[in-house]
Amino acid sequence: MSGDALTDMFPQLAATLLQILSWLVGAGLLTGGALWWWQQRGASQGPPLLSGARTARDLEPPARRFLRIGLGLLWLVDGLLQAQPAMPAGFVAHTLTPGIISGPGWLVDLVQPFAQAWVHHPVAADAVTVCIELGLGLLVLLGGRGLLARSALWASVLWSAVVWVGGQFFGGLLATGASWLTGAPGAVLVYALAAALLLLRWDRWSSGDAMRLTRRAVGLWMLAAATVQALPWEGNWSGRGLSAPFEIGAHTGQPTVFLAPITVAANLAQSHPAAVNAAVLVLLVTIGTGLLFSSGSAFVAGGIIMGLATWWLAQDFGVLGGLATDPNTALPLAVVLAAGWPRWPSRARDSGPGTERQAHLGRSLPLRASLTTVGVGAVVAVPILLLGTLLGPPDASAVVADSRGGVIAVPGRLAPEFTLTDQSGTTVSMSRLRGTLTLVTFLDPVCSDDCPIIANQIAAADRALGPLARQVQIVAIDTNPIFHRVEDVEAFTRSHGLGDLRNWHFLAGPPGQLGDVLAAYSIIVQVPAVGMIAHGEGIYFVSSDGTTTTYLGDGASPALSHGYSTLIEQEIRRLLA
Amino acid sequence: MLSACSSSPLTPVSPQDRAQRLATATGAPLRAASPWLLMRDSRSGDAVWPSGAAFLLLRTIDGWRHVTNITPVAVPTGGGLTMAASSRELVVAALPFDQLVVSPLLRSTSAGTGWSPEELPGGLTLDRESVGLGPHGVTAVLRAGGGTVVEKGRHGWSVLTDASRLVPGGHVRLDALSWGVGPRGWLTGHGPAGSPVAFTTTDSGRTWAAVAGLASDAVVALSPCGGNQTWTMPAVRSGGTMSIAVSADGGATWANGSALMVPLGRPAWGCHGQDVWMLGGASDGDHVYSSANAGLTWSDHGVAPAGVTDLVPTGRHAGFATAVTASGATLWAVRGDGASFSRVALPGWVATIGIQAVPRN
Repeated sequence: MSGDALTDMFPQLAATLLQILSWLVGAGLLTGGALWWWQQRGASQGPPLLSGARTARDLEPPARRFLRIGLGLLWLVDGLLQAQPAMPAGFVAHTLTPGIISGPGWLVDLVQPFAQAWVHHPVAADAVTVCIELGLGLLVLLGGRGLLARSALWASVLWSAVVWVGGQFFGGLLATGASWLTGAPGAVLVYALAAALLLLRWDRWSSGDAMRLTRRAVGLWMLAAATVQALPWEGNWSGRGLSAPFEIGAHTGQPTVFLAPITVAANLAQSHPAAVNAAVLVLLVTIGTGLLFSSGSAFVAGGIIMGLATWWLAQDFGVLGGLATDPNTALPLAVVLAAGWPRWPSRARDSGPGTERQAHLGRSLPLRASLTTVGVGAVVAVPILLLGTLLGPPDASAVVADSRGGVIAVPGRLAPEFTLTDQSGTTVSMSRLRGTLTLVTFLDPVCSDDCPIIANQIAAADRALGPLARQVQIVAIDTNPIFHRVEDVEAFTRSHGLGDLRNWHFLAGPPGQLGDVLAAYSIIVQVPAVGMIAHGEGIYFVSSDGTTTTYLGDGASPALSHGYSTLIEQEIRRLLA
Repeated sequence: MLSACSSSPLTPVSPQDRAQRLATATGAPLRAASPWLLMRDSRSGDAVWPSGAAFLLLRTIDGWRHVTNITPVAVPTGGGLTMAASSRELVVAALPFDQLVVSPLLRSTSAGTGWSPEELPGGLTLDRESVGLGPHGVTAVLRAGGGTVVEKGRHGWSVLTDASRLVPGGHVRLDALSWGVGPRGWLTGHGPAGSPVAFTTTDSGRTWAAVAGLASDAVVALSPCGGNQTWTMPAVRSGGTMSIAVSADGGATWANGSALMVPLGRPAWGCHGQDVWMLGGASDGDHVYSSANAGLTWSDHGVAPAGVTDLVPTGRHAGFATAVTASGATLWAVRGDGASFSRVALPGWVATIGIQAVPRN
């Protein structure tokens, strides 16, 4: 899939965001103007909702201030990342889908409505996400002790939870391959932790209690990460598993000064996985234990350095590639840990005589009110206004977005096993297909739109391979819970001219058995009250050792059907090479 | 109440051209992709009904005061539905459209509350009677080869006959297969003038012969309807008239009834014993005609509502009709053998249930 294809929804996104921005700025100017007019009439203070650091007692402890600004900036970065040109069309295919297909079936059920809303309304969904995250960033940066400030922190926790479940699938903990290096259990969980710490009373920050709590929380985090890092089934003791995060960075275009150390780390992880993983484990356990039980600055410094090193070498700064949604976990964790530095002063330095400060704060109130209006509007009003769109019928662009998947890499895991019967009555199982490259797709034998197109595109790719096709097996699994017999898949095969393909297997079986297989491959089937069933589409490419390697989303829309067979053929040739 | 007064749209097309259009049109004269009815009596029956991009199968047991949706699930129905019923069984098939080239077939012995799926060996013709319940089981007319008649036996589907066997070298397209009493059946189709367009069997479809007595210039034959020994078979003649063949001996021999003009739209007709209603052309639009003697003579009841797609007498000069206009499909209760039409309101969900918000498949 070309970058251009992914990014050509950007003008629509930009126009939508500009329109929203104009509304918000307008509302902000009105609010600020009204407050300024109110002040001119003799009122010196703003409404209680906007109460900020108005008195010396209210001056924010520096550690808290550092963490609050850090969290606010992180939300702003996330919001800007969410506004990247490729995000509307590419988010589901490149960010959600890999997470979905490596997770359990119930996770798919949980995430499906969100994914569906995004696919149907990519621009509106992305615009809402951008607004919420930028709005949260703005509100957190504005700070204060009032209701709005606390609400912004609670909203941060809530939105983090939404993103953690709906966008990060529990930070990858439910799939194999979770690791400290990849960022499990997810950056937004760090945001939630930071917001929760900021919700502590200010006197706990002044007393140092909150900093101690921060160090312990990060210590626990690192010990949990060490546990995950040590689990054999996560694959971190193998060269392939451990080097995977480094490899991604090593193949991302970036200046040599950044790239060279990543390449070295990738090679080291590949050649000496046990030693490298053991070193990571020792560091995590040592620093984590130190943070938990000691108040020494050395462990804090060690944790920050380890976080930043991980952020560079294993997470490649988190923001590269065009489809990153956050800077990954290590940097935010380092920011949180820095707030737990034991030598932060307990109180802010006095910034001058109280009357002068009061006057300054009074002058800044209209601006503060304007920014607050913009922030609240972005977090609350925009999602409400666009909710109708998100729940409505699909955009015209939805089908295009749906088919923008292209071939994407998926976590290598053993392809779920099945034993079913093909159109000629032959028993076919996944384990018996090992030794050949296998394409696994999902079709409805009485489908009236995409399925025959997909099948014929696969067939066209297969025929174009010539003799190479002998090294490939094509498996289609019946998705229809009513038409699930051999006769059904045989009729489809015959009527669509697929009978001449010797490597074509359209598999039928009892509905329960088919349902289990579909769930194992994270394929959702919906049976509406009337008409054709709806089901997930796409093609898994399973390597000869039986592990999933890549995934090609639905490309059967009229706009792309011509190129779909080419994509399939190219991917087969690449994997066979 | 509408007193048969709203005119059908007039077109300048001559009756001869209308006959020719029906004879050469792709598809069948009585299309299954339109609202139509299969009534068992004045109160109970089924309907194929458009809803969004799909077609529904509706059932009533109280003259359409209440409606049940019995559409089989997991089947694309955008091409329309064909159905056949016996006292024990209801058979429904989805017609080909878009990428659906093989017609899924579903059978129910529980009044549509449960369905057993099957696959036909190909795509059906687009006629309402492209599936039937014959003496030995389900029969179907497939589009392949200009019309291929198949029957489901113990060992699967077998071919009974096809268009090339019936009219070697001809250009006849078979449309529908209907069954009379016992092994008697009729195959009807359309084609150029001079070709036989209706065939009959007396041995459950093993052998077929052209229907004797049908006008030699017939270009379209419509499935006969009737019961017991009385049957009526309309045929469109190349000159633009509808000849009505009437049989009083179960279809063995046919006599000529009074002819009507070919309607401006597609033919619509139905019968209940010897009562027959039929749409016929007239100078001011399509009229509803009725006959109490199987079509030997006709009474004119005036201009029909616009877009009539089916006329179904159910006895005592009453019955139902369906129509389609730009504003949608409508169901009518008919009185006076077509003298008056009153609209029957269907529940709101009928129009909306087919408009699905599910993702593309």
